[in-house]
Amino acid sequence: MAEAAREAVATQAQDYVEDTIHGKFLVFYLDKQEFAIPIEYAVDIINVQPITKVPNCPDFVSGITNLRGKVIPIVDIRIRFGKPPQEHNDRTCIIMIEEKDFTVGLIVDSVSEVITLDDDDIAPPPNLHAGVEARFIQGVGKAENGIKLILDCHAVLDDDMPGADEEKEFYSNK
Amino acid sequence: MNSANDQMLEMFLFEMTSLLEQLDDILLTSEKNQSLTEDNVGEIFRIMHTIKGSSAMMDFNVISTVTHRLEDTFFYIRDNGIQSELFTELFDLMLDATDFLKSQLEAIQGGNPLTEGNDELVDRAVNFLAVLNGSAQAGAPGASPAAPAPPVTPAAPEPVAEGGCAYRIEVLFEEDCGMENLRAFMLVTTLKQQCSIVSMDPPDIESNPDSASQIMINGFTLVVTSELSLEKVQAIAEGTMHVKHVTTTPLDAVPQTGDGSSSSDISGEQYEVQVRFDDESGMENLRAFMLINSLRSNCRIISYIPSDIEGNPASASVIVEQGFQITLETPMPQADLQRVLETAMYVKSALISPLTKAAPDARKPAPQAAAAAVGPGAPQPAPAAAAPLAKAPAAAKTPADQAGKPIKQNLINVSLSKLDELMDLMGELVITESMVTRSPDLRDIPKLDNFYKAARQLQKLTDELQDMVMSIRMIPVAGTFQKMQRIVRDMCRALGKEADLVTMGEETDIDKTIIDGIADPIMHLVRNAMDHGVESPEEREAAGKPRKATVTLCAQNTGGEILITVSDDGKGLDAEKLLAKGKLNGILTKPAGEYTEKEAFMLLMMPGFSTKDQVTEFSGRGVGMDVVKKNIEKIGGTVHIESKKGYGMSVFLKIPLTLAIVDGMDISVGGGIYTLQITAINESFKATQDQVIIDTSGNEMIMIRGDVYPIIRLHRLYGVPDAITDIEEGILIWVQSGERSICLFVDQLIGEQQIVVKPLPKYLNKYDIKPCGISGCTILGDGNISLILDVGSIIENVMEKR
Repeated sequence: MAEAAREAVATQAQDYVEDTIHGKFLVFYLDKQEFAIPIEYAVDIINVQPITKVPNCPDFVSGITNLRGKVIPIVDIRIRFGKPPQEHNDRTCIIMIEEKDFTVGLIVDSVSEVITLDDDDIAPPPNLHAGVEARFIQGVGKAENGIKLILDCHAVLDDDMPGADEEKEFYSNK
Repeated sequence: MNSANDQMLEMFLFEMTSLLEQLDDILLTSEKNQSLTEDNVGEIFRIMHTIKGSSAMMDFNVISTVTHRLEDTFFYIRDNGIQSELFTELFDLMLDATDFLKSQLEAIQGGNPLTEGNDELVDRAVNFLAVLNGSAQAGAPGASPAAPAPPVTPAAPEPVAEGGCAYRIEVLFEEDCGMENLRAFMLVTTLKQQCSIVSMDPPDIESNPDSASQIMINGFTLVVTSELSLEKVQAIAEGTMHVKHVTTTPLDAVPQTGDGSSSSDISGEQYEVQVRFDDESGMENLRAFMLINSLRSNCRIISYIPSDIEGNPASASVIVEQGFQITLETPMPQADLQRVLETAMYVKSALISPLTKAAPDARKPAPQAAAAAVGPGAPQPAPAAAAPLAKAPAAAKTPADQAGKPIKQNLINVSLSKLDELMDLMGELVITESMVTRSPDLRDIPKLDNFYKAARQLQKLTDELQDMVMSIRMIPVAGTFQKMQRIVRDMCRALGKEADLVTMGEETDIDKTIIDGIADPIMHLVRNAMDHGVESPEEREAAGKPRKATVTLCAQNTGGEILITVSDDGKGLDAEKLLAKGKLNGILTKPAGEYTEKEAFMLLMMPGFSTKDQVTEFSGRGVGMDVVKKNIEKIGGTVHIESKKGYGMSVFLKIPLTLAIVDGMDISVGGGIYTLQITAINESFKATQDQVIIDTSGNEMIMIRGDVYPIIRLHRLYGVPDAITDIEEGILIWVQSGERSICLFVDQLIGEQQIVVKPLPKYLNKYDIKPCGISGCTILGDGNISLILDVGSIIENVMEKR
């Protein structure tokens, strides 16, 4: 009896947590463009700290860093999206995102805000141009102050995407 | 609920594994000596019985069916003995059975479904029992092979000659077996072969179906006379199907007391024991069941409460609340009994109170023979027993203390994941300590005497703590070595060779993770020794060696490392043959004449190299030695081979004591910091430009004491910008892995430090970082990360490219 009641409470609490984060997005800048990621992915935001380069990795993997005793790989999202690299400044941030069973840090130009988007405000991505950037986009969010591109975190971190093989080859040849 | 189940399963697996290991051990020693002592038969019987009981409780019916049949077999052997001609068959059957049980355990561990049933094994056991029956009573009318469980020898019931002792047997059947009268009849038939029945209660079991309910309520009581000892009669009754509990008591009033030896076999004082288990032990009913089983070897169990521990999981909670109460009879002194009880696993306390001979009747649980004059007594200890009860612990404690500390009670089982976590925490602590004591902020403070004093103290303590944590993870290699006995035995039989396995240094402790890592390589090596090294007995005789070969397994701690040797006195390696074979396989990198003997032996460990011409069941696929080498190198060890043609060969495995914390040398290249294991470094030195030799393809080399070694520039290997490129400004480190050495060119040495090895993040696994020479990383005192260089794979990487 008591157990069942406790379970019910726990489920409620979980539902509550899910409710509060559902539809919320963390918005960050890359150049002038605003991107958003579902907030449940983002576990931490830290300032840029020393990163140790690891040999044999593709360019967009900046290296590894020490986050409170844990070794976390860092992905430079600018390079991942094929943009030219940029010097880090005091607005540059690392967003720690948790995907499946690992944590990865994403270097972004700056973090701007957390917004709420209704499911109706999110449009599917246009299928027109299949650029590098386009395949990382999961949807287009229409917020009051402009358009945010919603990132598909899974695609950003996972290499097994169409075109990824050539990319890999390219890096290993280098 | 789920976690309780998991815990139960874990406990089940743990106990099964240790029981099976014990069984293997007994079987192998017995086979070696070609004898089966009574103790061993009893022990095997007990193991089978326990496995049967616990697996039935866990609903693993395949396991319980198989063990049930084997239990029957051993039950028979225990009573009737076995001819030595049948040993081979028996041992094969038993070893196959343990293999099967182990495979089932693995399936359970892996979460896989169990085999549906193993009819083959069951049939073999049944047939074997039939053979046993047949040979024991040659000429007896056809022992039907289908005869199941108990040794129901269908020999004509011939009443035993008058004489022997009289016993009263009280039998309780399992609650839901049904047709109790029929069961009782079967029991009577079985007993008739060995005993003569004097009276039964109820007497009309054959004709009166109502007697079933009578038996259900009151049990079935028999008075028999027999020449057999009390235990044997008891055992026969217990071996009958669906019998839950048997109480056999000798009756003194028999006129023809024979030699009188039997009734005194197990007799002595009767005690009532109140057992409490450890609070957290869980599955109290299973514990109680195991306790009862272990007591059976030297006590006669009269009754226990709750009585349904085997079948009813709910009895666990009853035991938790009220304790577990056993009434037993034993010739042991009370102090010994106390010790036996207290050394049993998970037993927290055991209160023993002696009973007077007359008392037990009053204390027996309800369902007793109606014939008993005393009515069913309350199952709780009678108040009269209170006085001796109170006295018992005080009296019992002293002898227990005198007899030395009980061994088992002081052991606890901890899951490996917890130890891994502890190790991780320990690592963090070591890092944090150096972060504090080497903090750059300290440089600006002029006087810190007290701080440094305290820091040194802290360092000492963390060092001690670290040693302690490491020692917790250490387990002796004995377990791994023991498994090899079995392999040698199997291979001897399969290949028609004769060999003994001699093990030395089994008590050497090694980190659990490393033990797991060396089990496979050692197995490969032993197989190789048996298959390739050891000759056939005839060949050996012709070579003037004893027929029986010796394979030696030896472990020793040589300080920072463990040295494991696998050697045989077989035919040894033939360097010329190796080279010829290598040439054939096209793996020679220089003319065969230039190979030293040592280098020729190293060919064995090249992938795809096998000296044996045909592939056997055990080895010869050419995947053995290179896998051994790879696995050993994976745990940071090295392999090397020594051999003398005609006299055998030895393989030496050098293995680090632990993986997690190593002594490292920090070096810098460009802005980055890398760490080399101290053990890999031979020496470091500055070189001048004119010492460096450059070959035609631009490769740099340097001569150290007459030998030339290639120079690898780390900054070039890893494409590090801003590194020192002038050979005279940087520093060279001469490193070695196995037999090969190179010189690494780096910017500078930073210092020596204990480092905690951490794996690279999983996310990076897809980028082939390990093959390029980076085996992991570590967090430095200042919070930065340094990459750990693996000299072995750097060398391999470089050699490939050239």
